[in-house]
Amino acid sequence: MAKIDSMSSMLKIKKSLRSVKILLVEDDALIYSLIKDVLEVMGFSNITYCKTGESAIEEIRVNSFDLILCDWKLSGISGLEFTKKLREIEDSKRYAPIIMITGKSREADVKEARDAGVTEYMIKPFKVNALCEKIKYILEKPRNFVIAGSYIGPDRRRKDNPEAIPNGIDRREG
Amino acid sequence: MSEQKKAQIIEQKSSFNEKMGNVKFDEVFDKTTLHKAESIVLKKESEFKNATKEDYENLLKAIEKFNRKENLFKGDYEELTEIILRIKSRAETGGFGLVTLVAKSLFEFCETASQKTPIDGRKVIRLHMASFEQIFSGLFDEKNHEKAEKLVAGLNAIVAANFKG
Repeated sequence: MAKIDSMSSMLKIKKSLRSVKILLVEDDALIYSLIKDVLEVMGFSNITYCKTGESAIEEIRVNSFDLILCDWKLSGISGLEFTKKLREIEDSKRYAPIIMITGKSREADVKEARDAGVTEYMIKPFKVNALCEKIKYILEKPRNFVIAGSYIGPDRRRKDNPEAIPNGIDRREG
Repeated sequence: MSEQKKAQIIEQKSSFNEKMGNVKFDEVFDKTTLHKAESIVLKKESEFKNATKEDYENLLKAIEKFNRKENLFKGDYEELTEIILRIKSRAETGGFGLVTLVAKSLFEFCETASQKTPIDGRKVIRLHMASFEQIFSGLFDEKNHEKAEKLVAGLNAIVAANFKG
């Protein structure tokens, strides 16, 4: 009986994973293909691809996404500008968690991304365990959403979870 | 006097959390799944290796152009950042872990030099390019971690020294 329960719960989880709509914004086809394949192996199959921030905004106008993975350096508007535009949409679409995946790794970069409204920050080269870590934070430690004059995005205070920013660079005030 | 809006704090779960429910990460992704995901990265190694070599060829061309310039301006360093960032992002997946570290050092140098004039930018670039050359030609034993660490520390120190004062 316990085995049946466990199988049924696993099937339910697999169904949930398949229902999660992911938007991947990345202009490097090689990295896009790597991330997409990894996400598919993890059970996510509903993945939409956009090469630019502009096309991602267009896509968001007609569709909703549950999770967004976005590169910083894109041709046209940057991943940061895309993030700000998404957070400004007066709709529940703005709450989607954004994982920024970028080669930029300075503390100032992380702060800039945080201030733009990024939820999690991940440094390239791409690593499966880093992606898992970020998904784990989003799943297990959801944060409140803040709408203030100069900032719209997830609550930047993360007292309980200081290691959430890569390389221990989280030195934000809280 | 302008009216200042109060910050709103919205306690909500994103649709991602709603769809997944109150599950823990380990309940969703078991070790086998994560192992399969890791194997995808390994399968892509040769693609990334070839792409990194191609990126390096493009960097060589960009550096050739850079070296022909009589006077260097901040924008000249900025022009190099995109290709260096691509090398940093791809090389390790292609099996060139040390290339990623050298590219990281060079990227940070060029990014800073695009805002603040370095003491001797040509020398910094020359040293980084010489390191790349040694690695790609197999003259540098990447498995010698101590030597690799020294190389990266040396490059980082040269970068830092260029912006002192």
